[in-house]
Amino acid sequence: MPNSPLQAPRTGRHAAGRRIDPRSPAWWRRLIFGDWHPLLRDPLDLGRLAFLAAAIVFLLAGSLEYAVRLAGTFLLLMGAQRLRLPRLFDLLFLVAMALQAWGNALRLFEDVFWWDNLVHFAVPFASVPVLYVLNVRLGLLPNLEEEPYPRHRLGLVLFGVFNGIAIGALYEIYEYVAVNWLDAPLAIGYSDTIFDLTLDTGGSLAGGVLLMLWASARWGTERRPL
Amino acid sequence: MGLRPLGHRTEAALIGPRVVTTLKLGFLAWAAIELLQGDWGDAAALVAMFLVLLVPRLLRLPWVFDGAFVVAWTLQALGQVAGFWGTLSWWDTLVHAALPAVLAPTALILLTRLRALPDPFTGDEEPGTWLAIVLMTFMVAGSFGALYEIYEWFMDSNFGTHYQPSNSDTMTDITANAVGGVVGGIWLAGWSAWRAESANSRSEPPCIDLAGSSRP
Repeated sequence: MPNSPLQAPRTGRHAAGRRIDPRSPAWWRRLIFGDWHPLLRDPLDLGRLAFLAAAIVFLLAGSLEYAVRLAGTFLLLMGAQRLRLPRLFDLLFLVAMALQAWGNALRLFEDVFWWDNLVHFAVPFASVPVLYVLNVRLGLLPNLEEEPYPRHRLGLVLFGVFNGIAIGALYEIYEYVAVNWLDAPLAIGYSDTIFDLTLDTGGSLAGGVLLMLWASARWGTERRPL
Repeated sequence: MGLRPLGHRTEAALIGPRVVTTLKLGFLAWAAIELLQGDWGDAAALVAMFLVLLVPRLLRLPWVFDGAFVVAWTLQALGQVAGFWGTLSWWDTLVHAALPAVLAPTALILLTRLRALPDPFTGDEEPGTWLAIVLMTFMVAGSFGALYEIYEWFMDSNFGTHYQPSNSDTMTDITANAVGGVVGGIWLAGWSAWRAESANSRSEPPCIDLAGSSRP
């Protein structure tokens, strides 16, 4: 029953009804780019699980704060997985989350003076495309590839940049509240806040440019099957 | 598209726009008083604010936006010219909430009219439409508020101004901007809902006034 609606849709080489030869280049392609299983699709999903594993390790080691931070990052990454992001967006988001989560767990924010700056640029850069796709999935914004006019695409990218900067501003409010009301051990100050906001803006703009290039190539906002 | 003749409105419907226009002219009168007192700087600021107040009318925004502009810029003028910033500690925070509450919805309407942002009403009207309006307005307010804080820091660091006394002040401003953005978004969503309902009753498409008519 090749056309039965009860059967899972076939894609790529499977659609031709051929078995994948483990020695062929397609085998390596599948190993890297995935679609292994709906619940564990590719190395990026393995990377997500690494955060959960690290959270458990930190919990067992008695470090509740880092365990909670890593578990929170894991949940955020699982949310990103549900968005069916294009692989590049997924990879960038995973890397950015790794920079902030491992920066906390390994005390890189304290030991490497430029780590905070790196994170304040990388997180908005990687988040703008994700936030845009989130808006699309929620039905709040139209899909970039469906927009025929460059001005529309520019506007949508602009909105993605607004998202990045505004969330950066909210994060600064959180830092301020955490330090002044919850006694969190964070180093903040006027210049630091402004520098963070500037990097957030730069990262958001870079993310917007990435989104614009993506839209120009009409690559869509869905993860494509191999 | 030309402006609609005013003759089709009732006298009662014209009261609001006339009050708003009178209040706008009040800025010019205030500027003249400041000028007579020899305060050129404040006079110039008030004239500049008067010119800004003409923007909603030039964009053919409904008069309620015109009125909101007057209220928000009056708060700014009272702080800047009448010295409320110095005498009332909370005035700056009030202005930092009031201006985005008015400017962010206006910016959103402008971007929609320029077709740079999608009109939330162009598709089927869904519950997400109202959320989209609030979120979009909040994001515009939050991002412009953050950029304004960067501008203030740049001016203080390079040109000797004293816009920001401390980090706490900056954070209060950013928070006020965010709150103002949410309030402005809720206001715009509510107004859009009312407009959509009116348009439906007249069998017109429910959109954010893309053509820029001058109806209230």
